Amino acid sequence: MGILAATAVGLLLQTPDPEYPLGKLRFPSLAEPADPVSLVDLNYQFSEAGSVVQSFESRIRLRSFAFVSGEVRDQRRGAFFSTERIDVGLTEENGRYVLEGGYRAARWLMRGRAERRPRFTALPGAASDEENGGWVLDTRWAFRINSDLEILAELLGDTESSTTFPTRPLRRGGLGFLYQRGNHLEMFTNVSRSRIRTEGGLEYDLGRAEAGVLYYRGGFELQSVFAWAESDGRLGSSEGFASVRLAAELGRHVLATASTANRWEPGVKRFEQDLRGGITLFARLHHFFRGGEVGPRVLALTRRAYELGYNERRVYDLDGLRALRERLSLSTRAEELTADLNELYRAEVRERNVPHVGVELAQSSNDVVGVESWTYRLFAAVPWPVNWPFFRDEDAVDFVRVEYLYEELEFTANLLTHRRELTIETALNREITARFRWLDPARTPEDISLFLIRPSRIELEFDYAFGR
Amino acid sequence: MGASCALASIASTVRPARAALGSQGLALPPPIPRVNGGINIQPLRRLDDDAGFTEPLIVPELVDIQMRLVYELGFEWIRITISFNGFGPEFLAAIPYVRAARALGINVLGILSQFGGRDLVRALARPQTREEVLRVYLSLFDDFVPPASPELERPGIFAVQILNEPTHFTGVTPQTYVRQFLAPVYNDLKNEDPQLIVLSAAAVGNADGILRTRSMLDAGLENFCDGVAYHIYDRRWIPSLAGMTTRPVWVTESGVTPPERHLAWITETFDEIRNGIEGVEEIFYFQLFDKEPERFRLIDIVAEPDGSFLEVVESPAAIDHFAARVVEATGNAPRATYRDLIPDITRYFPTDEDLAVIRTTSFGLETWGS
Repeated sequence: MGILAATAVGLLLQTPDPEYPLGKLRFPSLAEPADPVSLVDLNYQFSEAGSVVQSFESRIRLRSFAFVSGEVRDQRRGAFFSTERIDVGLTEENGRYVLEGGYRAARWLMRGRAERRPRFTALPGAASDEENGGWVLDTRWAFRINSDLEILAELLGDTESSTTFPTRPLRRGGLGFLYQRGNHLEMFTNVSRSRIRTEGGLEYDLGRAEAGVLYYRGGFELQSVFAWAESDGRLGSSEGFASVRLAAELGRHVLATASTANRWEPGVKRFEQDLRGGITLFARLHHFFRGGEVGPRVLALTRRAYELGYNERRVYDLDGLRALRERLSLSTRAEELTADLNELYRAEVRERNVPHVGVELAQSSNDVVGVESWTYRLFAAVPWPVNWPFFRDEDAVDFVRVEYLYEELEFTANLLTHRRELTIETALNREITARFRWLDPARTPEDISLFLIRPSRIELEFDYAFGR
Repeated sequence: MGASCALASIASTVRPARAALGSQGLALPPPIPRVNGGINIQPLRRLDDDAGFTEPLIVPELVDIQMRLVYELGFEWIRITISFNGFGPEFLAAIPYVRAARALGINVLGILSQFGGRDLVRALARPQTREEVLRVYLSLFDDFVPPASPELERPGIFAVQILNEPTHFTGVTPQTYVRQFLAPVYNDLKNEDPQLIVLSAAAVGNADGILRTRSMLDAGLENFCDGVAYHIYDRRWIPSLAGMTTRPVWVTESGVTPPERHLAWITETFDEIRNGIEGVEEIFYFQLFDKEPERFRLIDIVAEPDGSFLEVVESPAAIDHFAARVVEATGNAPRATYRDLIPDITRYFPTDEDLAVIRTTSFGLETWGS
């Protein structure tokens, strides 16, 4: 078995890799241990909007044992450590501490987050003059019944219930399930009950039920979420939320998307709405990761991991797949999964989508704030190798992408304003990207009233992600 | 009974008194009792729009018309916008209305607000300018006003409402309104005059307002006011507003269109509001006069060729109703006329002392000169 796996790995390592602006990229076998450490993530961000803010994050792998990372993001500092089953992290930002971590057993999984709020002085006339920050303890549990079904639970508690600001849950308990059938169907539900304390000092109970479904069938994906919440007390109300998103291939190089999201209070009105539609032309065949090669490999890998005593949920996005591969590569039985891991990665590389040109139109409204907006997003990309526009090339990879966004906001308080964003992103290969962004935020009536100035901002980012 | 009949009834009560007193030099009879709740009035100073600082700044007859009707129709409260505008003409125009009303024993709810623009919210957002603005408002409107008749035990009281429909008119979110405007202004006002009644702003009187009212209460609105204000223009929202607060409720605007529906709204819907919402202390009809015909207003005011002004009743049934309640309360006893009590409205106009107070602030210096 080991010989077969090694042979397969060898064959895969020899499979031709796409050509990038920086040349061919070596095939990263995640199963190989670092010696003794290797860099897997490096991210630097620079932002200038009157003042300069810099962020730095790096992550290294320690042999086949763990990942260790550290970050400095403006005022936030953090350190993280993770193995296949355990992860812990601690961050601090202006006196606010967050300790988070989790344990991943064969049949269950727990993630916890403990946040220490800083002390602060409340508004004059508030329930108390000085507020003790207290801790918020939030835990999420998942009990795996089989490779397709998980029972979900959540428990939250706030140790300082007298603190008024901000409006938040003091306690919450919830129960639900997630069912993943093959690659084509996902269903989840969650029912929770919370005790809420408002910043005005009122307390009430909030019940919430949520259900969602995702259905994929060759070239078509439908996602829908429906939620219902009811609160008691003198500010009691009912509220519904519903969202539907459709993505459909038109031919093999064009993807059309449409979505709607609505919040409403029965008997009062629909008070929040988001409608959007878009169309994207790809330089090579479009793939849903649930279909093609990736989907079956994700399914096979997670089921195999389950048989070996590892607890992995199916994921279908690049970051999620990378994290899945990384975790399993740290397992004590990684050798048995090496071939599957590499095959999955190879399929990801083959089926990665390379957008060429696209447009999106969105219309949103929020009647509580009193604003309605229209958003226009347009992008054009030059894939590598550089070719004529609209030239289809099945070996193309991402190279340069320029995106422009314009949003026009109309407030009921007689103000028409807009925001603009320009993004230029370059992928030197699939692991190294550089990004430039210019953001010109909208000035809201509140900004004018409160003398808030929102200058234009320039952002630069360099990102290296081994095995992306 | 037609509108003219109703007004004639009040006149028949007051006219003999005026005639008799004029000839005999006797003390004034008691004023007309306040039996008809609250009404919104406009601080009308000119009939032409955008008059700016041109003369006359305030036409006395326009103030007289509205104040006479408020007095004769027996309203207990008026609600009036004291529009900041850098202490400009609209601000000054509110002075005679507030002072004359209080002199007549009519209570005044003054709205710290502004017709258009964000000067006021910007001034209230900063502690230093907030202190200046509030000092002028209190100095000019909350000071003692001598009653117009010895028969009045006390002048009308002055109460304050902090902004009007803030999200709708200024664009601040409900939470920001409570945190950044209501809380500091309430605290500053109470520090200056602990007896002053301070009301929160009401949200706009439609479905959006229900959601915004809840957001404001959620953000702690009740901690920073003596009364919670609602605007009700649709009976559907009465159950939604019921029980939202344990504080006293002031319905600072309520009305309906067209005029044919005014009377039923005042008689039936006002009762429905009182019965449906716990703790309703005052309801203000919207409104006595504005420039939109056949909608909410009870009267129109027109300019005559000779330069005088005349009120034209647009909602006769509602006027009759208010007048009849006054007649019912007074019986045939003689009552002092408006003119008996306010022989010259200009005595309540802005004074040099008022302008001196304004000049001490960082506002209005360019306009007012040195």
